Amino acid sequence: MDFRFGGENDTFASEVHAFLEREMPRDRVHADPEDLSGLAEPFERALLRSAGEHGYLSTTMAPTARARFNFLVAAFDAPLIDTAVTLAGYALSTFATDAQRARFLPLVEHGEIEMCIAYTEEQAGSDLGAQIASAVTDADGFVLSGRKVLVTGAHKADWCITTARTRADVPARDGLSMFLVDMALPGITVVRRPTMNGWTLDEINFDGVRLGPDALLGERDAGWRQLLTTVAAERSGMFYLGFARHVLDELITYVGSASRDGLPLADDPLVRDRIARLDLELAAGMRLAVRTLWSIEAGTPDPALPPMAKVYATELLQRLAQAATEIAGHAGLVHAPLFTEGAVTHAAAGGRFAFEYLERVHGTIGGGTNEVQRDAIAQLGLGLPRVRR
Amino acid sequence: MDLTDPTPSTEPAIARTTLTDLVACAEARGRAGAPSSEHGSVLSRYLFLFAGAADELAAAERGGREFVACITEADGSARLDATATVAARDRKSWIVSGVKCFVPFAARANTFLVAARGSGKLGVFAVDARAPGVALTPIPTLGLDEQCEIAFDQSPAIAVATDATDALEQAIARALITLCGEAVGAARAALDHTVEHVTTREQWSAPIGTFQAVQHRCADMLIDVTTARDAVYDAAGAVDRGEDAQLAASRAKAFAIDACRRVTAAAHQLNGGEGIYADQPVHLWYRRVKAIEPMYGSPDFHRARVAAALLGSRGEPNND
Repeated sequence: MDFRFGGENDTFASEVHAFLEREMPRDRVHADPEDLSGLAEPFERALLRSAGEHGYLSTTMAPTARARFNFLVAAFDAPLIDTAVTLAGYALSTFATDAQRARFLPLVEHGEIEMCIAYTEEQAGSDLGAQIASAVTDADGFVLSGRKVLVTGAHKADWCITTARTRADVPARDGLSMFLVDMALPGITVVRRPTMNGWTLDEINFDGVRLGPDALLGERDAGWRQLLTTVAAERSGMFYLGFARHVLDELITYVGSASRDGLPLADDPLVRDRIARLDLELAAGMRLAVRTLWSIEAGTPDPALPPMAKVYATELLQRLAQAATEIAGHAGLVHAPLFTEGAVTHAAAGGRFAFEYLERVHGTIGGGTNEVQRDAIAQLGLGLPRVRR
Repeated sequence: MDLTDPTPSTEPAIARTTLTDLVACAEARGRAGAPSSEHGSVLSRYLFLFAGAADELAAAERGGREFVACITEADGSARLDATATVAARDRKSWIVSGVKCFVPFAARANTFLVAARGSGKLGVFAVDARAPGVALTPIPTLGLDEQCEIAFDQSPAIAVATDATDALEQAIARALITLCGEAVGAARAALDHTVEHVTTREQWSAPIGTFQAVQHRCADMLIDVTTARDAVYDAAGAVDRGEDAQLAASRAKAFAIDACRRVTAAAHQLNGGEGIYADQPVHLWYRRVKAIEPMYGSPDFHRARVAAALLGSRGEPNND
C-alpha cells in the first residue's frame, strides 16, 4: 500500500502503519457486524487506549498529521475514525471552559472515553436550524428533552455532544446551545436501528434529562455559530481516501489473480482502462485533500476546499464500488461483513466489493449531503449568489 | 406468475404467451423489490420448448415441480462454449460431473437442468435434486436471492437435449429480457418512492423537491427509467416479431441495467439518511437491480455482442 504520501521519509506514517499492523486482528474473534466499525466494543476500547499511549489521540496534533492518521486507520479498517478526538476534539478545544478541558482532554487523549455527536433530528437533517430538542433552565441547570437521530456509536458512547434550544421564542441561530451529556444519566435511551449493510445507527431519546450548569459547552445561545464551525472542522475527507486506497488495492489484487474464459482479467483492456481511471481519480482526490490541509495549516483556509474534497472522495468511493463489483461480476456480489473469518464461497476480495456497494451509499448523504456541499462550493468557491433559506 | 391455462389446448402456454406479456409481469415483480426466481421458470419452459422436450414442458406447466437451470460456472462467464461441466454416457442414461455457481433459489429445486458437455456438444441434462453426488453450498450475495454453488459428482442424469446450444441461447435471451423487465420495475418503483419522499419531506420550510438539485436528479431518473423501459419492451417486441432474440437481449441488457442502476443509486441519495435503514424499501430495489447486473453476461459482455453485430465478429464473446 502506498501510504507515504508525506514523502519518502514519512516516519510518522511508517510508525502508524507498524502500529496498525501489530494491533489489528486478522481473524473474526473480535468481529461485531452490528457496529459500524465491524469490531466489538472491548477490542475497540483496548485499541483506543493503545492509540492514546502512542500519542495518536492528541488534540494538538497538526491537521496534516491527523489526516494521515485517519487515512491509514481507514485503510486498515481500524475502529479509530469516529474517536472522541475526531468527533469532539475541536469543540472541546475551542469552546470548553478550563474546568471542562481539565476534565475531558486527558480522557480523550488517553483513549479512555468514547463519544458521539448528536445534532440531527428527524425534521432537522440538512436544515439543522429546524431542531426542536429543548434544554429548559431550572434552578440546578437544564432539563434536556428531545430525540436525536442518525447518530453513530451512541450505544457505546460514554459522552455525547448535542445541541438543544435554550430559547424557543427566537430562530435557532439565536437560541441554540451546545451540551456535553453523560450518556449514563437517567432519562436517556438509545435505540439501535439496523441499516441496509447490517450495522446499526442510533436514535437517542432525551426524556427530561437533568443536566448541571457545567454541561453547557461554550456560550449559552451561541450553539448555532459553534455548530457551524464544528461541522466544518470535522472534514478533512482523508479517511474516505483511506477506504478508497484499500478497496483499489483489493481490486488490483483480485484482477491480478482472477480469470474469465481462461483469460486473466488483467489482460482485459476494459478492465485495465477502468483501473487506470480509478488510480488517477484517487491521486486527484489525494491532491485535493492535501491542498485542503495545507490551506488550513498555513492559516489561510479556503472554505470551498473541504466540501470539494468531501464530494470528490465520497463519489469516488461509489465509482470504485461500482467498478469493483462490475469487474468481478457474480463473484463481486458475494457479500460478507468486515472481519469475516475464513474464505467466503466464491467471493471476490472476501466479500468486500459487495459490502462496499452497500456501504458507500451513505457517504454522499451523511456529514452534509453532497447537494448541500455543492451549494457551498458554488457560493464559497465561486461567489455565486446565495439563495435565502 | 402462473402460466397454467385452464382451457385445454394442445399448444403449451409458454408458446401462446408473448414475451411482451412476460416482461409486463416481470416489471410488476420488480416493483415489489423482492428477489424472485421467476426468470428461472421462464428460462426452463423456453428451454423445454426449443429443445422439443414436450413431457418436461408439460410437467413444468402443470406446476408442482421446480426446474432450476444451472448454467453459470465459477468464473461467472456467460459464454456457453466455456462450459466445463461434463456429461458421460452410462448405458441408457448419463452421469454429470462439474460445479455450477451463482444459481438463485437452488435449494427450492426438484430438478436441476444442467448445461454440460456430452459427446462433444453442449447438452442439457436433468438431475434430481436428491440424486447421489449432488451437494449444495450457499453463496451469500447482496441480491438476497439464496444463491448456491451446486457440485455434481458422478450424478445420474437424463438427457433433455444432447445438442442444446441453440435452445439454451434462445431461452437465456428471453429470460434475460424478463430480468431487464424486473430491473425496470424496480427502478420505476424506486423513482415513485423518491418522488413521494421529496414531495412530502420538508427542509427550510419547503418540500426538498422544490430545490433544483433535487428536481434535476429526479428528472434524470425519469429519463433513465423511460428509456430503459422502452429499450426492454422494444427488445421483447422484436423477439415476438421473430427477430434475433440474442441480439435483442444484449441490446436491452447493456442499455437498461446501467440506466436502472443509476436510478436506484439516485433514489438512495434523494431519500437521505432514512433511506439507508434496513426497514425502508429503497435498498431492496437497489439490490435487485444490482443482482441482475452480472446475470447471463455483464453489460460489457453484451456491449461486445452489440459491437460484433455492428462491426463484425472480431472479438465476439460467444462465437463458438
